[in-house]
Amino acid sequence: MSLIELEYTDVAELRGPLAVVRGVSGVGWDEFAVIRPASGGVRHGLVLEADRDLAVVQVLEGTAGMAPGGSRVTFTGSPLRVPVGPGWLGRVCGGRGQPLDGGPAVSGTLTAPVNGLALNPTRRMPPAEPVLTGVSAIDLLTTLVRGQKIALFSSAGLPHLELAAQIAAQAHAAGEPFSVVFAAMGLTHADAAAVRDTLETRSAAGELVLLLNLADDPVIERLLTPRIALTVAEHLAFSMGRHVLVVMADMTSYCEALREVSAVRGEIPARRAYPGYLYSDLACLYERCGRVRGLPGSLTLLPVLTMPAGDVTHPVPDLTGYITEGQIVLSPEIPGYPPIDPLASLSRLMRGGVGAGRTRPEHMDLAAQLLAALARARQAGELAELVGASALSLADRRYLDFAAAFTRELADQRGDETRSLEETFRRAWCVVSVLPRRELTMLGREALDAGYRPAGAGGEGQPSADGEEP
Amino acid sequence: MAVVTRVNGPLVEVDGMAGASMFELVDAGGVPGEIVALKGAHATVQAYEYTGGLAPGRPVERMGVPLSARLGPHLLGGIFDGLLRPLDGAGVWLDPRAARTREGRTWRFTPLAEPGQTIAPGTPVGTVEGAGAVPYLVLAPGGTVSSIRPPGAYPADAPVATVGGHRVTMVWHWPVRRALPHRERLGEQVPLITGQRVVDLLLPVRKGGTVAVPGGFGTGKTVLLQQIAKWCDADVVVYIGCGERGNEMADVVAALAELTDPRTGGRLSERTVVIANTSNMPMMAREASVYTGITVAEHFRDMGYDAVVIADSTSRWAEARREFASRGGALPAEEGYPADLASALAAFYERAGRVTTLGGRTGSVTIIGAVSPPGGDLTEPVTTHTQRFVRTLWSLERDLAYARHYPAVSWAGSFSRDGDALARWHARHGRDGWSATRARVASLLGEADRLAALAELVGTGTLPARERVILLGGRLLREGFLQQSSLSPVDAYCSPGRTAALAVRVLETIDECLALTERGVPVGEIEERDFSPVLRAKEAP
Amino acid sequence: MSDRIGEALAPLTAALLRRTEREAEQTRERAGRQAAQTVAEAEEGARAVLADARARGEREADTEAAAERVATTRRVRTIELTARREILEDFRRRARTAVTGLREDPCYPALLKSLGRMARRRGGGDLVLAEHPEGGVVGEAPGRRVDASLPALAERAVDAAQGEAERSWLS
Repeated sequence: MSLIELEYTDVAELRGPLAVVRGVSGVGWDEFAVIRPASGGVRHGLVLEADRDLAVVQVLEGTAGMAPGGSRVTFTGSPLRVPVGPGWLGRVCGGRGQPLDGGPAVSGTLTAPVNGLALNPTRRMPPAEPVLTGVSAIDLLTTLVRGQKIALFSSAGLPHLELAAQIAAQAHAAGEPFSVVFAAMGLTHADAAAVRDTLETRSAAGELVLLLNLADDPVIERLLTPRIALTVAEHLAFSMGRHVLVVMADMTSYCEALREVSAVRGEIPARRAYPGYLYSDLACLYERCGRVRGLPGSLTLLPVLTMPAGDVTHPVPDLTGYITEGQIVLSPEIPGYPPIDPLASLSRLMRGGVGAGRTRPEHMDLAAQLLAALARARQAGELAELVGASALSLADRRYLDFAAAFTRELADQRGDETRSLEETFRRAWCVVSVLPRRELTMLGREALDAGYRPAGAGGEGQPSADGEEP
Repeated sequence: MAVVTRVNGPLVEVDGMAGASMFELVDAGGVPGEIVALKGAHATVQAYEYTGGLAPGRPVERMGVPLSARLGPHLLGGIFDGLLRPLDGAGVWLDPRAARTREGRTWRFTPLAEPGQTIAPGTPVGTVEGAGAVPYLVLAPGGTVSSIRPPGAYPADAPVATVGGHRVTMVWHWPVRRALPHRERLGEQVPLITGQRVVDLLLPVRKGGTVAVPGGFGTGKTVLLQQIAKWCDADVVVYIGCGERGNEMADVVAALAELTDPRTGGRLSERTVVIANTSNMPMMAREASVYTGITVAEHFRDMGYDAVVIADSTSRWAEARREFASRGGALPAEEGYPADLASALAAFYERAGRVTTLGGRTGSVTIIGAVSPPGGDLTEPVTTHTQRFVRTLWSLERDLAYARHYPAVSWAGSFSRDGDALARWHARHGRDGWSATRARVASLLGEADRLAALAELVGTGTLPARERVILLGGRLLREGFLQQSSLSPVDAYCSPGRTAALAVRVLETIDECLALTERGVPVGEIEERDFSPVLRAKEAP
Repeated sequence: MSDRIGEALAPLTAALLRRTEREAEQTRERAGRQAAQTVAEAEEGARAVLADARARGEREADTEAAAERVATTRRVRTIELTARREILEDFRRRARTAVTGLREDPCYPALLKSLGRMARRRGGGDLVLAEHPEGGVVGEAPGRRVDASLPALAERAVDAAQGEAERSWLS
C-alpha cells in the first residue's frame, strides 16, 4: 500500500445506488472503493462492472446528495478485506464493521478477504462433538454439533430473535475456548437493543463479536455484514483454535436485500423475483463452517430466518434447507417459550455428536423415544379434537398426559434460564416416565433401569403404577 | 496483444483473439476460462475462478486447446475439482492464485502389444499397475505399432509406445464437451443391480441407461445416491458432487475409503473417481464438472468397463448455465433459464449408453442425475425437461420421508421404461417369476393407495373384507419390502435373489390372508395378527 | 522519497507508540479506577433497588438487578473503549502536526520536488501540480487527482500504524 493514492474525479453518471466513474485504469471487478462526495463525508462502494475505462461502482450508502463531478473515488486495489484477530472480541460494530461502542475502529496487523476462500472438501472432518445451548429442547432433541450448519426456521411474530440471543448468550463447548459472532441484519432498533442487552455479559467477558446492520441502514451493507462476520469467525476458529458459533439473524432480510440489489443491477429475476444465484450466494455463506483436519477450532453456524406466511416452499427457507444440515423449527401451534416444534425439527449430524463420552450413552434412543411418543400424542390430540378426549382409549389419554408433561417440564424454559445437560436429562427421564415402561420400546434395558422413574404417590398423571388397558 | 476489456463476475470479454476457436481455453490475467462466444477478434469468456480484482487491460493467453480432461491412471481413488484438478494435495483453503502441482510420480507399465502389430483404434497396448480396482488399460489409436516400451516405471507424460505415427502416453487429454467415439450402441438390455429393492424390482435401470432422481430437501436423495455409489454392480463409479454440501463430499470420500468392495476385496474408493465442486466453489467450474465426469466415465467405458456417473445435483449445473447466460445478456426463457437448457440436458443424457467400443469391447456409461426442484415443485423446468430424456425416474416424496419411509421413492410418481425388458433378463437368468412378482407388487401397491384414499373419507371399518386385506397388504409391502435401511449391516444391500424371495414371501402372506377372509375369518382378526416375522425377514442374515 | 516522510515519521511513531503504551497503562488504571467507582456506585444503587424490589417480589428484583448489572457493565466498557479511541485520535492529531511541521524543515523544497515526481508517477505525467496550503503537493488532471499533501500522508501513515497501537491495548 503506497502512501500516495490516486483518486478518480470523473463520476460521469449516477443511477440509483450506482456511480459510473470514467477514465479509470487497472481497476478490477469487485474491488472495494472509497468515495468522498463534494458534499462531504465518506462513502464506500464495490465495483460491479469494469468495462474498458469505466468502472460501475455500487455505493453502499446510496448516492443521495452526490453530484456528478466533485466526488473523488479511490480504489483500494482489491476486493474488500477486513482486519482479523482478537481485536474484534468484546466490540459492538455496525454492519460494515464500523465501531458503535465508542471505541476506535477495529484494526489488526492481519487482514483477510470478506468473501473468504472455499475450504478444500478433502480437508473437512465430520462434525463430532456437541455445542451445548442450555436450552433443553435443543440439547436433547436437535443437538448442535461443532462444525454444523443448522437453521432456525420461524414465522413473523414468534420469538426467534429472543431464542437466538439466548443461544448466543448461553452456548458453550464444555469448557473449551468458545466465542460467538452475532451478525444482525435488518433488525429494528428495539430488537437490536434487546439482543445487545442479552449478550452484554458475554461481550464483557471478551467472548462476543456483535455486528449490527439495522433496518434503516443501507441495504447493500446488509450483504457485507454476514461476510464480515464469517471472515472474523474463520480467523478465530481456524487460526486461533477457538470454537466459534456464528448466529446470523435474520436471513430473510438478507435475501430481500439481495433481491433489491439485484433488481437495481438490472439482473433477470428467477423464482419469486429473487435472483437466480440465490442458492449459490447462500451456499457461499453457509458453507463457511466446519472442522478442519489438523486444526483445533471449529465454526458452527446458526442462520435464523422467518418464513413469509409460514410457507416452507418459499425460496428462502427452501434453499436454506437444501444447504443446512437440519433445522430447528418454531411454530405458532406450540404454546409457551421456546415454541420449538420437535417433530418438524431435525439435526442431521446429531448422531455424530452425542452419546457416550460426549453427552449421555442413551441420548439417541431417548430422543427417538420422546419423538415417537410425541408423534403418537399428536395423533391422539387430533383424534380428541374429533371425538372428544373422553372417547379416547386409556393408552391415548396417557400419551396426552405425556405431551403435557413434556411441555411443562422439558420444553418450557425462560429466556434467561440456562439448563445443564444433567438437568435436561433429569427432566427428560421425568417426562418419559409418565408412560408405562413397556411402551418405551426404543430404550434399552440398561438405560431404563438407570433412568426410568415412574411417579409414585404425589407425582403427575399416573393413576396407578401400571394401569393398562386390558 | 490479447487483453481483457470487460469483467462482470464470471463473464470476461477479451480483445485480440483473432484466430481463436470456440470453447478454447484461455488464461485471463491468471484466471482460467473458456471462450463461449466469438465475434471477429472479440471473445466472451466464461471464467472458472472468482474474478475479483481482475481488471481490463490485463493480458490474456490462449491455450490452444478446449477445456479437456486429463485422463490417466491417477483417476481411480482420486478426488478432483470440477476441472479435474486434484484436491488432495491442494491446500486447506482453495486459493485460485495457488498453483496446483502436478503429481510427479511414475507408473508401472506392462506392454500388451508388440512392434510390427497392426491394431484397430481403441485397442489396449498396455496395462498400468496400482491404478485402481480394475486393470487400467492404455488405449492407442489405430495403426502399426512401431515401438513400445518394455515393462518398467515411467512418468505419466512419457511416451510408452508409438502407433501409426502417434505417440501414446499413459496420460492424455480429451475435450470434455465432446463425446468419446464408439462403434455402435447395443440393443440388449442388462440391468444395473443397485441392491435397493424398490429400484431393482419395481423401477430398474439398465446398464447404459439414464435415471433422474428429483426430490426436495430432506427426502434422502443424497443417501440413496450414496447407497448406489457403494453397492451398484458397476466396475467404475464417477461420483460428481455438483454444487452441493462440502460435508457430504467429505462423508462420501470417507465412507468409500472405509468400505470394502465385495467384488474385489479392496476399498470401494479404488473403483471410484470423486469430482467435488461444492456449492461455494466457483460456479462455472461446477458447470464444467458434469462434462468432466462423463468424459472420465466414457474413458473407462472404452476399456470395456461398466461405468456409472452419479451427478448430485444437475439442478446446480442448470443454475450455473442460467447465471452465465443472464450475464451475457441472453434472453431468458422459463424461470430465467437459457433457451438451450433442454438441449443441453438432452445432449448430456445422450452420452449414456451400452456400446461396442472402438476396440471391439463391450462397455457402458449409466447416468444417474439428481434434481433439486425448488420448493419441491416438480413442474419446474429442470425436472420437466429431464423427464423427457431419461429412461427411468425415481421421484422422492417428502410425505414418505416425513413418515420415515426410506428410501422415499414414490412408486406411483416414478417410472422405468426398461422395466419389462429387464424383467425378461432376470427370467433368462434363473428368476422366472420376476416379471409376475413385479407386476403383482406394483398392482397391489396401486390398489392399496386407492383404497387408502377412500378409507380416509369413509373410514377403514366400512370397507369390505377383501379391500381391508389389500390395505393391509399395502402396509406389509411398504414396511416389509420397500423400506430398506442404509444403516443396516445386513440390509444395506439386497441381492436380486433375496429381493425376489422377500417379495414372494410378502405376496404369499397376503394371499394367505385373502384365503382366510374367503373362508369367513373375520377381517379384524386377520389385521391383529403378528406379522413381525414377515416384516423383520429383511433384517435376518 | 518516502524515506524522508518515513524518516520524519519513524521517531515520531516510535515515540508515540511508547507513549501510547504508557498512556494505555495509565488510562487502563484510570479507567479501572473510574470503573471501580462506577461499579461501587452501581452496587450501592443495586442494593437499594433490590431492597425496594423485594417488597414487590423476587422475580422482578432479579430482572431489575440484571438490567442494572447490564447497564453497569456497558458503562464500564464504554469508558475503556472511549479512552482508547481518544488516545488514537490524539495520536492522529500529533502525527498531523509533526508531519506538517516539515514545512519549516530545510529539506522542504527538495521534499516538494520528490513528492511532485511521485505524484506524476502515480497519476500520470500530465498532472498539474500545486502546493497544498498545509504543505506537500496536489496533482490534478481531467478525471484524476493525486493527493501528496502532508496532511494526507500523515493520515495514511497513522492508518498503517494503527494495527500496532491495537496490539498494545490487547497485551
